[in-house]
Amino acid sequence: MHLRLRLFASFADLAGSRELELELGEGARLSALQAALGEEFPELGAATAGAVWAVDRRLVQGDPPLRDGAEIAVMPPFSGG
Amino acid sequence: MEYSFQLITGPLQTPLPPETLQGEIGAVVSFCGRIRRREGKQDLVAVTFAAYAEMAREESARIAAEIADRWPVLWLGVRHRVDTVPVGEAAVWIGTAAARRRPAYAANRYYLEALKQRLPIWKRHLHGRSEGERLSR
Repeated sequence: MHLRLRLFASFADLAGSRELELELGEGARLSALQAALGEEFPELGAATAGAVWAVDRRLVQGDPPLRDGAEIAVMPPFSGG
Repeated sequence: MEYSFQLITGPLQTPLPPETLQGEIGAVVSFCGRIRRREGKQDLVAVTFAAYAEMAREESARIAAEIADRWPVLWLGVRHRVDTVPVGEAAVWIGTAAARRRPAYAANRYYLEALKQRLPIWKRHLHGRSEGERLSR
């Protein structure tokens, strides 16, 4: 499946990009994406241990299944307001 | 419930409840979050905000829907800056209006706490020069 990964704040700096395109096997879960990210960008993989994740602009917890074409966001803890 | 949410650049223009609601509103509560100079042991000159705008708009709408379900609120207006905000200026403004004060207060507080937990907005502190450097100029 094809996924669009958006990176924000310090995570974009670590990846050198605000957006990445990834291919994962059908039925992949968020943990598979996290593992792939850690292999490609070890520093980013370590930094995202405490990250906030969203799938299709909704906050997620745990290890949800992903769908083809999903927009995944990896974000540092929020600090607005 | 009337609702508006904007991520903006430049000084906040605080919105007012719609004219059409004026006869029904008995209480308006507004919260204004400003940039303070002291953060920990360091002085700031400004704070820069950034957001995942599409998600912030969608998540804010979900918070607004939760408020509409919980309290008889007539109006919710939110503005959050997404640029560099100097010390002393407002970074966020939340307004709520209802027939009575309790739901207006409760909804305002609920939105603020939810904003901090759920809206994808980040800040970066911009520190000033040290006192010695400032004096040497």
